[in-house]
Amino acid sequence: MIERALLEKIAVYLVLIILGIIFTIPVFWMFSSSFKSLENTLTVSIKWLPEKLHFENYTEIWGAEQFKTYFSNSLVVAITVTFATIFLASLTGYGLSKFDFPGRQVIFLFILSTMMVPFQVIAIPLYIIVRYFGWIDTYQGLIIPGALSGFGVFFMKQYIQTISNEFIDVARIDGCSEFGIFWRIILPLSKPALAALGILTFLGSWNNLLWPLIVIQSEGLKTLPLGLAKIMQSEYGVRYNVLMSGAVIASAPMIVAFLIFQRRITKGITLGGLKG
Amino acid sequence: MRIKEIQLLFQKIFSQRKLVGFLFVLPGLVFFMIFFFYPVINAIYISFTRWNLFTSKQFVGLGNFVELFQDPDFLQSFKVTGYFSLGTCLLLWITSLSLALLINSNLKFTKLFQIFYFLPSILSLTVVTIVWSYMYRRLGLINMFLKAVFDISSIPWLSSSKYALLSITIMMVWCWAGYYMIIFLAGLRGIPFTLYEAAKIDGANWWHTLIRITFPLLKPTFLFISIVSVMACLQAFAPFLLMTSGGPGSSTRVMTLKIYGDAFFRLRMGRAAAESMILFLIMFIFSLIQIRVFRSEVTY
Repeated sequence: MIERALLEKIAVYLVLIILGIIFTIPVFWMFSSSFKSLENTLTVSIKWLPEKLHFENYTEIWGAEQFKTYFSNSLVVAITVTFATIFLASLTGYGLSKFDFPGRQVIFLFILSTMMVPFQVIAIPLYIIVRYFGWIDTYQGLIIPGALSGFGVFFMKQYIQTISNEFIDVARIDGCSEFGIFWRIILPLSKPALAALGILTFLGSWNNLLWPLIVIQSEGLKTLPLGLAKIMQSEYGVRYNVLMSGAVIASAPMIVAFLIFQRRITKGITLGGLKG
Repeated sequence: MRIKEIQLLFQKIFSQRKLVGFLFVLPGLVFFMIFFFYPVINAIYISFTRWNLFTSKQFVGLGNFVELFQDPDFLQSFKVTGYFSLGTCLLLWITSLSLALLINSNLKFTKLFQIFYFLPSILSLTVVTIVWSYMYRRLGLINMFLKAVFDISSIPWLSSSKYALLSITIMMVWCWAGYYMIIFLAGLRGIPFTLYEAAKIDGANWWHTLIRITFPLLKPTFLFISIVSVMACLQAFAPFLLMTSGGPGSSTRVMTLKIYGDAFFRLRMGRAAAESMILFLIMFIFSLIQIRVFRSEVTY
């Protein structure tokens, strides 16, 4: 009986390990190839490791095309979008969860419905609005339409609802202004939710391809996914070692954030799902 | 008298607290009005017109929709989207549920495995596409592996219309499985442990416990996952654009790619808007069906 349990355990571990290998290999292959020489990426049999670490692939891609610009654009856009979203989402979420005014339910349902409509539906009119504002090919055009999401409001409302009303009442009696209550009581108490939403938003913005593709034309404003897509079509498209080091650099912020905030991310997903 | 009544009503609605609450919601509301509500209404209107961005809109009623259902290109993209979504969703559900069940078995180190399974979900689809395009090459990692282990001659993963859609499906399942695994895990952990203990005492084996306890109690999770995954599949865009641009032939030209091409290359805004409406309707109908299927009572 004990032996059977042990065998079962071993079998489960074996499956876990095999699946673990399958899921890791593409990522490992990206890292390994990014350090190879060009000849080593074109072998006929599998070479798991580079024979020598070619760091120059990284310096080359970093200097290539406008990789640096793509990277900093992505950073600027993702950071701005993230802060705008967590601020506006908690503002809206607070209003919807702690105040009772006519139309509150309708507004909440309306905001929820934004999650059900695919981006492709609003892409064309959104492009027209952005053009009307004169934001085509600008940072505003990249950032402002993404400055708030229905998911973000939903997420923050759910969390702020769990904060006890006593905090708010006490602050109000003490003469704290309404915005002061939000800024000094609600926001600090929502830190875990803000962090989770922040990471998910950053992830979505960093990885977004469709909207930048529509709204950006000039090289100097392209974000990483767009830039990488261009590099893929250029002479680097067949120089896989350099291409892979570009892919590594593009994923590095996400991988680091994931390793640090692993639990926050999984919690955030469990609470509502990730857009993108 | 009347004025007083109105005043009272006004006070009731806009008593200070209520007004404050509304003011907190206002910026968000304005945002959604401009960047969501107006675009949706506008998209519906555009779908009834013929328009190339520069001329004035010409109202054609249901003309675009009628044309679409006679357009072989559109019907093809409809079919491709259907195949892709069906295949990807089924594989995705099976894979992510299996992963979640494995992780949920009371073993050590499962947390570590969870990290490995989830890792692909945080990579951008652009990066994923670049890496897999490299692996799918004629002399790429996958063909080299198949040759070395099973002695299978190289498969034209991306350059044959027979395999291209399958190749993207496999890639997407790899990329997304960890994400849905996390949601399944949350569902599994919500099932009361006492039920499993009771089943054990009653002598139920692993399979029976799975069918009789786990699956029925996972219904809400299944509902959420089925809706989210179908929506994600129908909306998938980046891998198709970057990996195959719809080819070879039109074997991977999904609806999102067709919409993008019609709108921003051929400048047929009306037609593209009509296509996006159809995409939305499909999603909407699917969601309703799924809610119907999974909403049926949960019995303990």
